[in-house]
Amino acid sequence: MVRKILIVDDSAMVRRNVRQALEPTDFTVMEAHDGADGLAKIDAHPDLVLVICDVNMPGMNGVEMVEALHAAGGLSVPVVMLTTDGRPALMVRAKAAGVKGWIVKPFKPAMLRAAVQRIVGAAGS
Amino acid sequence: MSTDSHVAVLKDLCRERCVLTAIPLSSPHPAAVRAVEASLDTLLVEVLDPRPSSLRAMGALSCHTLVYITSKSALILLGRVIGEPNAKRLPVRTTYTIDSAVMRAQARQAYRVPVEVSAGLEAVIRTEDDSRYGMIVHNISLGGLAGEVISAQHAELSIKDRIQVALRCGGLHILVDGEIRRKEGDIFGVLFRDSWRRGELEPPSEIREIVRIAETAWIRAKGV
Repeated sequence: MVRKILIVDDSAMVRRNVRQALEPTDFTVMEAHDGADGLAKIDAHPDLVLVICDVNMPGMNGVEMVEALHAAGGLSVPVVMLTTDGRPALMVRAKAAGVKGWIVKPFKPAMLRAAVQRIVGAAGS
Repeated sequence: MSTDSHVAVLKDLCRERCVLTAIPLSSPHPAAVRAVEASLDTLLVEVLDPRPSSLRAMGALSCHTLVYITSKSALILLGRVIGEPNAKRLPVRTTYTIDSAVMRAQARQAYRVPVEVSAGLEAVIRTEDDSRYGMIVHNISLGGLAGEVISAQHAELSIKDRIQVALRCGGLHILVDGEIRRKEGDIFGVLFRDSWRRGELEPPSEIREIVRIAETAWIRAKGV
């Protein structure tokens, strides 16, 4: 069964890199370009198995997006932040909202695949 | 308290001509002795203040605790006299057999400072395969830090793993070599390998400054 992952990032290059890293495995990667777009896609696709989300984006940023999800009843899908940002204040907020990981860019495709497999595997078990 | 291989320690003591305190187990008269020569399990010392009371306590097979203290640690050896001192032959020397491991009592050199979010300390763990995980630092000292890795459930991080820690704080940026020393759930204790030289604490200046910033933020947060 093909599993759906959503990448939320304002950079088309990062979205493409994530897609190229994950689509050779059995994942279908969907894209959103900011937090608001991410919320809409999460709402429209309840069968998502994972959301990978940037922090700094125009409009609604990644932390605001997970806080909105949390406020709306908790995260129904695991969320991992993929960002260059390491500010502790943001990490604390994201963790409080239920984020499962904080991976710092740049990333290697193999490392992202391994992390995704472990999270999705753990979530499914 | 840790134990070291005593052969290397004895040779170091002799090379640096260290002065030890020899405390007899059966007498209240300690003596100052200088390490002169070491072999596999023996230590030749020079008695620096050869008073009769001290020399009397150095009879054959008498047992002494030999202590070498610096500002940062104490080395403790247990020696048994196998070559008695001769007060008429200067310099006065005696030989011990050292048949136990050397104990090293390390003075605490690095005090942990709780890290407030207001300190703005960013920490990223980099593994050998160049995976990078954000860490919420709970406390930091000149010798290491402890913090929470949000990705701990899916990150390949184990005790004794060699890692790097990228620290950014108050305009400072440093990448230090580290080792994971503790793991409890999502909390990891990391030793800064770059802060230690031969067991002594010699942190990079950036680490000193970052700890100072953390300390200042903590004091402010406590309203002291």
